[in-house]
Amino acid sequence: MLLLIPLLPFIGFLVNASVGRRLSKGTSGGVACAVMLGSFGISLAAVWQLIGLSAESRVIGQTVFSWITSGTFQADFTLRLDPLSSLMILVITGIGSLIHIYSTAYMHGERDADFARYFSYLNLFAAFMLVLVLGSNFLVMFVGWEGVGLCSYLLIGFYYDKKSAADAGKKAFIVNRVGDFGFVLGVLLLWVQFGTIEIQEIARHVAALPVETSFGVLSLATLLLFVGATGKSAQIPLYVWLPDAMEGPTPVSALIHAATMVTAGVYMIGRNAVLFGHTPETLQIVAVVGVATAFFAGTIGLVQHDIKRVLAYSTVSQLGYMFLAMGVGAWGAGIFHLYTHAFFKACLFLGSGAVIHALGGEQDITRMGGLKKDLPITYWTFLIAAIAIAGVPGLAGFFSKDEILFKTFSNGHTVMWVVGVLTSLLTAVYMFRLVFLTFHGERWTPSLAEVHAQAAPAAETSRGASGHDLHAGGHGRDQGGHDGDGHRTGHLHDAPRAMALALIVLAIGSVLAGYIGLPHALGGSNRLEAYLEPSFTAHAEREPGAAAVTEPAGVDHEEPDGAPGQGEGHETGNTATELALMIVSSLIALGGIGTAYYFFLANPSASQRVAQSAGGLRTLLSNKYYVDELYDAVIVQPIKNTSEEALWKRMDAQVIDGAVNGTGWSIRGLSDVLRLLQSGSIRTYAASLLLGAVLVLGMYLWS
Amino acid sequence: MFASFHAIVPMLCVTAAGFAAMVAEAFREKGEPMPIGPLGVVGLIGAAVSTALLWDRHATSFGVVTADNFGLFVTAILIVVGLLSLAISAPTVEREGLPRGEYYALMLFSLAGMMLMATATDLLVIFLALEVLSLAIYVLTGIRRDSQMGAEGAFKYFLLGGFSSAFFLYGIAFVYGLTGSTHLDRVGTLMAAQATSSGPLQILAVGLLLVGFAFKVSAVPFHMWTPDAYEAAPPAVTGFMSTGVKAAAFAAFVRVFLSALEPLIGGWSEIVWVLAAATMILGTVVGVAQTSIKRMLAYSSVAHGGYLLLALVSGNDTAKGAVLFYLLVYAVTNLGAFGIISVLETRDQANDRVTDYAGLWSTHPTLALMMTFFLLSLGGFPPMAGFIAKWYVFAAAIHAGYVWLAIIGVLTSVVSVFFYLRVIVMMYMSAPDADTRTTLPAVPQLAGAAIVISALIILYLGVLPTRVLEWAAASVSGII
Amino acid sequence: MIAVGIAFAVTMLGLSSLLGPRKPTPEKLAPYECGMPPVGDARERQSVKFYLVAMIFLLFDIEVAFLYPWAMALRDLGWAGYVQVLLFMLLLLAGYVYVWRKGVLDWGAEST
Repeated sequence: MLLLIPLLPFIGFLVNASVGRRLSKGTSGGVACAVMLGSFGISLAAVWQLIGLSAESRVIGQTVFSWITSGTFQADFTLRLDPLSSLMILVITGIGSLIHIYSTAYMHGERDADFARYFSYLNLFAAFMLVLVLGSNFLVMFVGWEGVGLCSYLLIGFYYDKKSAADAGKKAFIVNRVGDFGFVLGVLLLWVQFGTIEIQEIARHVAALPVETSFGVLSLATLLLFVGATGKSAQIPLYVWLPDAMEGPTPVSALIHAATMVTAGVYMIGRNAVLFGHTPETLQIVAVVGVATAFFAGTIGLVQHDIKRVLAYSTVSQLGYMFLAMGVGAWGAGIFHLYTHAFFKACLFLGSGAVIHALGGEQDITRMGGLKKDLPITYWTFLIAAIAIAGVPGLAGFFSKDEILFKTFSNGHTVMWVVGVLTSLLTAVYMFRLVFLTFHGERWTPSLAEVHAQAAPAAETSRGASGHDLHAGGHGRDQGGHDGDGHRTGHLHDAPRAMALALIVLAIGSVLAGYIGLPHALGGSNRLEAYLEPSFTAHAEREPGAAAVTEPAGVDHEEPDGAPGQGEGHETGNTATELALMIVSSLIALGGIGTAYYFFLANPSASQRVAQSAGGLRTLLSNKYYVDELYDAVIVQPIKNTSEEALWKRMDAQVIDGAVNGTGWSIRGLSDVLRLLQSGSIRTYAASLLLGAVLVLGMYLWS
Repeated sequence: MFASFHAIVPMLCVTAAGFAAMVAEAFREKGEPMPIGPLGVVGLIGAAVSTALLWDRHATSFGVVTADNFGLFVTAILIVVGLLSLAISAPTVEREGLPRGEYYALMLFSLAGMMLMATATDLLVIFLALEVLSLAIYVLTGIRRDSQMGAEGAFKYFLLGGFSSAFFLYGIAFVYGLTGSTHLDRVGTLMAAQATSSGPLQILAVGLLLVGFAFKVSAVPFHMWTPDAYEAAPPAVTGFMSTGVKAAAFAAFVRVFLSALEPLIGGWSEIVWVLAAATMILGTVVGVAQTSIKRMLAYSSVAHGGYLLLALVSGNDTAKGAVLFYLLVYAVTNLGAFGIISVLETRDQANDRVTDYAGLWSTHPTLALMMTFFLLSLGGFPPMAGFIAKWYVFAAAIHAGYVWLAIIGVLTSVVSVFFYLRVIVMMYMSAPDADTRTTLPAVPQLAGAAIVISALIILYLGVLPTRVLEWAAASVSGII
Repeated sequence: MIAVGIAFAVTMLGLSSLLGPRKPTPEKLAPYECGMPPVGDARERQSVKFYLVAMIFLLFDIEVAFLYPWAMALRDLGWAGYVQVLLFMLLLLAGYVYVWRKGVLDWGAEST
């Protein structure tokens, strides 16, 4: 049964990829949605079955076939459903289905062939993502891991006639490959160390080992795995691809670059909680990288103009929170945030998609404003999601984010807690800046733009501006038909039915999703974390007698390890602290919203003043700390130059071109060729051969 | 009496087919269409049947050719290479008006030489085989007689090949001087006895043999001929030689260095380490700068040679199995890729710039999809077979303690994706040129079928590799 | 010892080229053609047929070099040797037929 979960979307992919171009939009979209819904249904049934089992034995496995067996190496294509992966498949298939449905309306302007292509990629993505989370060993996981990277690349570059989109796709793919480099090496190292790549087996082996206090093999392996995670989940230093990934269609940003794929790194660490728990050195790095990314991305998000880019930096920032949680050993809290984040961030992205759709491709928030009236559904759902992400009490984001901050604080990482709280202030500010600039205030008109352009000349970076225009142009084509100048000023259409449905469901999710993880301090029992708990420990029942149930270090020991409903175990002192911290962060969230209100709605001139007085900082932030430029100068150009200048032009092209002797390459006649053969290249080739021979012999003699 | 012929039956079949092709060409009237390609298929099927019958029999012929499972596995790879090459060659031969009898005869002779090289257990026979296969390949490289580039590439290849053959032969001479024999068995035992005292003669012997092999597998710095020859030859020939020669040369390389000269591994492993690292790095880094797909694949083939050297230096049984599996996967993948280049070529235009592939997805969706498979497999992307092959090689290296080499390998394969990806980007993410669209030819059925079959093999080996991996692992145990 | 040998050889060659008198005259620099004054450039085009025939001659010459030892040891080698030589001859025969049919042996003006 488990196999059907990824298989159904894969069948959808096959159908749309093979005959999709001949199908009508209704058929190909219908097929894609149907397989996703089917997969969701099966997931629900599977999870239902899983919950029916007793807490200790909540594992459903299925070995599809024996993939590689050779000598001592064994890797089966095995799927494994446990509490952690069950949560993930529900998120993937559930939110995935909604986004498929939303897409049928959003992508309606495409040609039939492109429409089918889009859905085939989307289905393929879902299939790979499900393989990633269901894979029981690293190799199967890696298949999904690479596959989602490929689909992400294909979807980012979906509007391929736009150069920026194709470039963004390439960037995403290559940065991800850098991460994969770490991942593969980490897995190889673990295999050499333990002789297996089954995640659970490794966990059992590791559980028997002492916690690695100094930097050893396990630390190296986990660090390498974490490099993989930074690539996939867009953390420092490999986060640069995610903002550019917004060149893809908006539903893709919602599904892949917010709700599912980018959380794969967090999931992978959670999956290997026992392993990471034994390497406090790595965990320290994970936590620092996480909190630094959260803060860093939050500051960039403050000044971006593109609605999707703001959300992208927000995603990077929220992922940073999740890594912070992982780094301080609060596995459950991290996964909890992953789950709530999927709802409100998908909702925000789909909302931004609805706005872009209504405005015919406009993405610049300084050219929006006052859309509240015309787009009520979009506005209200967007607002709910924004409140949820800002961390206002009562909504999903509050519970999960607070859980992370509380665990950070109670595990003694006070500095990180302070940074985390500051970041949540930033979150509230940039989110509500977005809400206010987009939906409140005056409608933007071209004449106003002139005024605006004069008021804030420094802020508009040429790169950003041209990017928007390009995108606006590209999308304008796609939206075709029902786009017109009338949209600029006249009446706008709110989200069509399919889009509205997805928005509303996700908004409801943003409100309610947090309640399954209601903390003890508020009288809940944190059932989600209790449910997830078995996934983060090595299982004892397979190895009775052995001291296998070792709690990984760093897991905070206040946490109840038992069944749900043991809230009484919580000490009252901690409850008081937790409540105090909750109040602090609630106040900060509200303060952030207030700040945003003051600067961007009530008193816009104040924000201009601040921007001008801190012009340098603002330029720095607008240019995203010049990280792209830095990478380009330090990594990309040197490689290119080495390849093109030193190795290729000097060693090969010149030799081939005969430029060694100052004769240019021209095929005028056979004599030219012959002269070339005799005078230039072949001698050099032979010399290289001889030199190589001398080197080989010399090395041999010398050693 | 005839028992002594058993081990050479596969290559006899191929040789006979080659002769038949040659004689048929001799009696062909000008312009008369004659199915010469199918003759080769018949010969290769005969070879395949005899290979299957010889499996596990460990037959030897004349004491110098041993059909052990290792050799037979490589022979099987070569049969696959031969069949696919014949299929993708047919349209090229038609289109370019190449002398068909000679073309097929040369290809089959060279295949016979490759098979001999894979099963020979005597250094002189290895040399003989090397020359048989090389001579035919030199001619095939320049078979487009009206092409200046072809003449140039073939000539360069020929001169340098001769040069390297001299090194190889010189190495054999030193081996003979040291041990009084060229037979690998005796060489092995005698070298083992002298292993402790590595005199200058021994160093010369091993070093020169190493140079000879390094040239044939185009290891850096002996790779200079590769891009020129690969670009100059018709793509079908390039596909054939980039896979067949590599398979045969690596088979002999493994046989000589991991069995006969294994006692001296302490001496040569360091050198092969350096060669492997240099080959992987240079092949990959220079590949990034290429604008012609053929040159790009030439450098990629250099880099793949580096991965194979990485397995060779690891030296354990896993590594030997990994070499066999890698060779198979690489052969099928590369032939598929060159098959696509071949069918997209026209009489006047090579169509081999990366930009010529712009928008292939919209003009030839199936070809684009197949090319994607091949490129992803070359880049080591799961679930393509290339991933499993690379995984095995790296695992063998890490197992043998060559962690840094494995890191270089993983890193270069990460970088290599950059240039494979560029072609994929072109195919899917750019609009086709108005004039390219019209000049791209229709795909001939036979070559198309070969390409699809290659892709299916890649997928099969990626998803269900166990059986073939087991074969590969089982065939390395009995290398003399 | 080897070093001394190499050094000696190099020194002698170097000395002779350093010390030897050089008085080039046109006659001295001209290629030697059996005492006749040279006519035309030595690098003129030859018909490819010369090379082909030379190569074919070489092949069949070697054939004899193989056949003669076999004939001497005919009884010792027995039937196995006979079959091997027959095979060898057949292969060469096929090659011969090929060059024949391809017109390599025709020296007429235009027959291929």
